[in-house]
Amino acid sequence: MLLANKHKLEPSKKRSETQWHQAVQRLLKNKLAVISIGFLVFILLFSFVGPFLSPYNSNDVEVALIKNPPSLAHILGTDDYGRDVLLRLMLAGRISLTIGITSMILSLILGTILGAVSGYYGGVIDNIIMRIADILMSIPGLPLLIIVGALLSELKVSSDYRLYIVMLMLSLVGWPGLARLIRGQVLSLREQTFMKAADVLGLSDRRKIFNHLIPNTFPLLIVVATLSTASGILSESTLSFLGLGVIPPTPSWGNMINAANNLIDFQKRAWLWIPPGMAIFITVVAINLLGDALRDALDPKMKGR
Amino acid sequence: MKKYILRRFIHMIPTLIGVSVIIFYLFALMPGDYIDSNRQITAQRAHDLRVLYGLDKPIIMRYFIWVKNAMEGNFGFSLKYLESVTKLINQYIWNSFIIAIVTLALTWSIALVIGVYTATKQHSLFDRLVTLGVFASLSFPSFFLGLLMIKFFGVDLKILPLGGMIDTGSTSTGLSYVLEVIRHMILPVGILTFLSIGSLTRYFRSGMIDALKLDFIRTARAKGLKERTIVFKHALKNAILPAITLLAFELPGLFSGAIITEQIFNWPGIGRLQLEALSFRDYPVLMTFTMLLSFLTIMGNFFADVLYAVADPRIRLK
Amino acid sequence: MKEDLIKVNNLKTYFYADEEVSKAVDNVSFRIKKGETVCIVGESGCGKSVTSLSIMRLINEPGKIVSGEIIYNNKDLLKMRENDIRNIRGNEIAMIFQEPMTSLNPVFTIGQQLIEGIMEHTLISKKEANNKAIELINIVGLPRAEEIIKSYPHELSGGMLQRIMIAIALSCNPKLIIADEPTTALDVTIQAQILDLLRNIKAEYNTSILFITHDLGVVAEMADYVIVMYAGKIIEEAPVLELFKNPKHQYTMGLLKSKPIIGQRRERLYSIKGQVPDLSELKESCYFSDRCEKCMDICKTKMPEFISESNGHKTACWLYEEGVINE
Repeated sequence: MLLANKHKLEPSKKRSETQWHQAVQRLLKNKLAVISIGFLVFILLFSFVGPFLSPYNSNDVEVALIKNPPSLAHILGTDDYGRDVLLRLMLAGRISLTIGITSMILSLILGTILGAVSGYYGGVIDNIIMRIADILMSIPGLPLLIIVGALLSELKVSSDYRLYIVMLMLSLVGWPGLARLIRGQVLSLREQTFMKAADVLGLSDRRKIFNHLIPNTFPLLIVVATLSTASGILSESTLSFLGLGVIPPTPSWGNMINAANNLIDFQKRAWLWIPPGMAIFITVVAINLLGDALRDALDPKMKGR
Repeated sequence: MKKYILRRFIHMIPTLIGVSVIIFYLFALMPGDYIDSNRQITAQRAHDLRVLYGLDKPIIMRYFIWVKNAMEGNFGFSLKYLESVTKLINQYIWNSFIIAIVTLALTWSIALVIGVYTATKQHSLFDRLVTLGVFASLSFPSFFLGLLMIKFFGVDLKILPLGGMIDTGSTSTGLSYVLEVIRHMILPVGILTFLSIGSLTRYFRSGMIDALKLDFIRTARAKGLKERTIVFKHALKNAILPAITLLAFELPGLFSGAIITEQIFNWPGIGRLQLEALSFRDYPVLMTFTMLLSFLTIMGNFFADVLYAVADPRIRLK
Repeated sequence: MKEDLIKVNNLKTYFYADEEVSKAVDNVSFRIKKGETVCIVGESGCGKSVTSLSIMRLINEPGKIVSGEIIYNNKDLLKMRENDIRNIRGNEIAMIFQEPMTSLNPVFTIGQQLIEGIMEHTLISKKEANNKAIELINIVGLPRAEEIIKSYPHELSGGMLQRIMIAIALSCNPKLIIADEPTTALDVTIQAQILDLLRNIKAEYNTSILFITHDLGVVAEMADYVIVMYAGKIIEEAPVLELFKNPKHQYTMGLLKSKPIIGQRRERLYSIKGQVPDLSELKESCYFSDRCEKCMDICKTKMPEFISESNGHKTACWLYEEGVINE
């Protein structure tokens, strides 16, 4: 796939050369994918640029305006500190999205390197790494996250610092699954002829792994990355809802839904907890749809089309 | 075959040991313990209690003491409830179990039927609707869905109870008790089913689609067999085979309790017990339960491997 | 003159992918007589397999049989209802495929798969069907039938599996067996055995055989009549001896020249220059024109018609049209 395939001596007139171009073309033909991409761009802008456009400040506390229902001035109403809910929603989006993406990147890096090394070398190294992965996967995820979350509360870690720890936690729980997938791919790629060619060229192990094997796992990685982001956002929201992830005053979509724990807010002030829930839902749907479309676009053996 | 099973079994043991060590250390490293959560006792009393519970010994010793006790079936006493952990867990775990097993039965039957049907009627309107449903199922945060449903059915429409396993202050027995529990089960089971149905339906669907593309399906068609026979006899058996392993993986889920759902619905299950134990630092309970889950996960893995070997004639006869 | 068993008229089977249409079978007509072995020969991608699948109506998305007739027993197979064609499949027309290792379901026994067709198309009991299965296994030359009945496909070799496939094809006494490159995936020695078996079956039961292959050696051994296909069209057809003695089309001549002869020394193996055209970008012309040594101007602009000679030899080539200078 990577080493130059020079069957066609003349450039094709109709179709683009590289697999990436073809994949992108296939992706753009999928209407749902385009809608998802559009929506995700919107959410990103909403969360990261939106607050600059809001007339309110995140720390404005207006006692008189506590818990107002949606109105022209405050499209989504105000919360229990008189803060504009729409603004909180945007700021929370920043946090939730950042955590989702960062934890994905971390677990991706960790999982890919460990999985590739494990698959390439085999033997003892493979055994050790996979055994660790097995053990981590056997420990139930949510309880583990909850325990570490409680640990953080115990240590009275400051609200901002917690953010980073949460990201780290999520990636620690996420990397084993990824490592397994990558390892599987590497095992089958390793036997292919282009790797033998790399051997014959006398390339170093590091080069073979990083320049040849890993790039060939990119299609798998891209799909896994999207799904991992979705799962990261969902996990963060669950933890924050339980009060064990991101804690106030830092807003996150998860801890905004915590408002529902108050009986009256739950029953009568739906604008406090339904918008963040819907925000999570729609964002994750868009990511999942995109991931699915990416899988179809990047798979050379097109299924069922 | 027997060698294969034996090998997998032996494989399990180091993993079990590794898991127990990690979990134990994790809990042991938690700063503060149950004694600390009670702020009203004096330092001297605290020290005495620690000696009593053996909390002052070094971690390694405590691990082996724990292992020794575990082998004898003694998993310690709950520091909060002052009951044996096994008795306590036993009280709650079956409440979680009934929700889990009903959810499992519903999820698998519905997913199988829909998955197979949409595989044969790809790109139809029904297929597209199912795809949308699948994505909704995969993307909903569980707690949010729970809250929405309670608000809609419990608060606004008032046709389903708001939570708990039985009506508050109820003293019904026998059939009316059963009916009451069922009524309370509707929402949690419904939500859990909805959330797990998505990925399973997709799994069955793609399994069937792949199976229908295989060469021997073409042979079966060329033999002039009925389409129904081809789909339900030839394709289905091949598609379902890998799903058997999935069934084995559901084992830990049957006993783990849906932590979030139980919290939201106030269901007296093991998930809620876990959260409580966490906030009270009731380590014996937490330790034992986490170990139980990990053990079930590992056993599930093992059964999955064995089941697959048994079901697939290609492996069975080696 | 033997009677016609099947007559294919103007068959068109196209494949649709995004905005492109591949004309896999483009206006193909031929007939198979009773008790006759017809070989369709050609390179990969010339449409021979698709033709055979079209006869059985086994074409799936994204392919479609666009037009044409396939007359069997005075009925058009292409216009039959699904139930009726199903009755014919496996019963009066049977098919064997190229890859015996994957053509059988790995989770059912050989016995189960042998009696399936019998149970579907005839009214005999399961016990009788099992006996018939054993009989069939013997007919195709495999020993230890009782053991084989209980085995699974992965326990048998490719050659044995292909024999089982032939047994399945024979199970309902078909009038036509379509064999789609049945020996391509097998060793040469096994290939010889399978071909022997097929010849014996034909002699014994007077079955017609439609044999798809790319191997001219097989054609020489098996065929009574040969059809040469290229890029979805028939470009030449004739009784087998006539074709080998007097090949008319440049492509056929190229194929015959390409086969290396053992004992003959050459510096270079002959191969037809150029490549098979893209089936979705075919223009009005002779499809072989860009590779033909004797290409003329008219070849590039008009499709040649099929011209028949008295001895049954037909060619589609401008070199043989009236009014054009012959070689």
